[in-house]
Amino acid sequence: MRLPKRSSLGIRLSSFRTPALPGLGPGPMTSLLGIALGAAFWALALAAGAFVVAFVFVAFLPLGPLGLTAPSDDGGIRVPVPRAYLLFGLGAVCAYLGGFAFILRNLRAMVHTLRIGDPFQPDNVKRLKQIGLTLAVVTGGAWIGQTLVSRLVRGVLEPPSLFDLVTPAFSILVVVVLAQVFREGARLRRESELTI
Amino acid sequence: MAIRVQLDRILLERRMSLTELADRVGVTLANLSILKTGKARAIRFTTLDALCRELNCQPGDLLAWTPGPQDAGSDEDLDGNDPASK
Repeated sequence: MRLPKRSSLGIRLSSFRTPALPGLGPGPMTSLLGIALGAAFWALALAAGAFVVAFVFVAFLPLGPLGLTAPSDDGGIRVPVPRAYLLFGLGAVCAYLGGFAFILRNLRAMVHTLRIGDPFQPDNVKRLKQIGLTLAVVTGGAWIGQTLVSRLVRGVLEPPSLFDLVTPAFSILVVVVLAQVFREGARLRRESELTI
Repeated sequence: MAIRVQLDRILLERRMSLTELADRVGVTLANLSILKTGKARAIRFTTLDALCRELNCQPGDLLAWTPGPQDAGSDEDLDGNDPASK
């Protein structure tokens, strides 16, 4: 059975041309990202180093009674802080800064692979997984630490709520999904390499 | 991979070296070696066309299928783990 011919809409397919995509290779954005990540990494690494020195200082040098001033209606209450608490706090800050420095180190390595035009490498899959894990540990640890400090040293910090974990949880989810996307990209790259 | 590329046999019959074939076909020697040793995952029709043209043969002369255990190719090393450590 012959189908009736459709009347032409007067549109020629050849008149539609998809716009040429601009060059998608590494560009100025990648270079800017590399510089920003490098600066942030060294700043965090130095800050973490400074806190490590402070940790060692507090741990091994004899110090007088330590305390914090909590705000109150009378102008302030001096709260004695045991040395162990201070060491815990300093250690937590070291771990926090060190964790983010580790994330930035991995991101710098990934941007380097972008610059050489080969981002879909298995190493980047591992880096993304490490970033996701570090984010989970650091943000979870910071939340737990903040909860402990708010309970042990009253008045210094507000106790955090569970809603504070929502944004970090979504960030971790995004990173985990990206890791799987990069894994698939690495597989396609390998297939393409072994296609003669 | 059950598909084998029988380049060795045909090169012997045509008295041609792998290097010479690589130059004629326009594929690097490294890639042609990958094809010859059965490590390739796919071959483009353009490459197959060039091979058949230079070797004066049919695709069926180059490719053979031998039933056997399939090696699917491990995807574990896509996670960035060092396969040498296993």
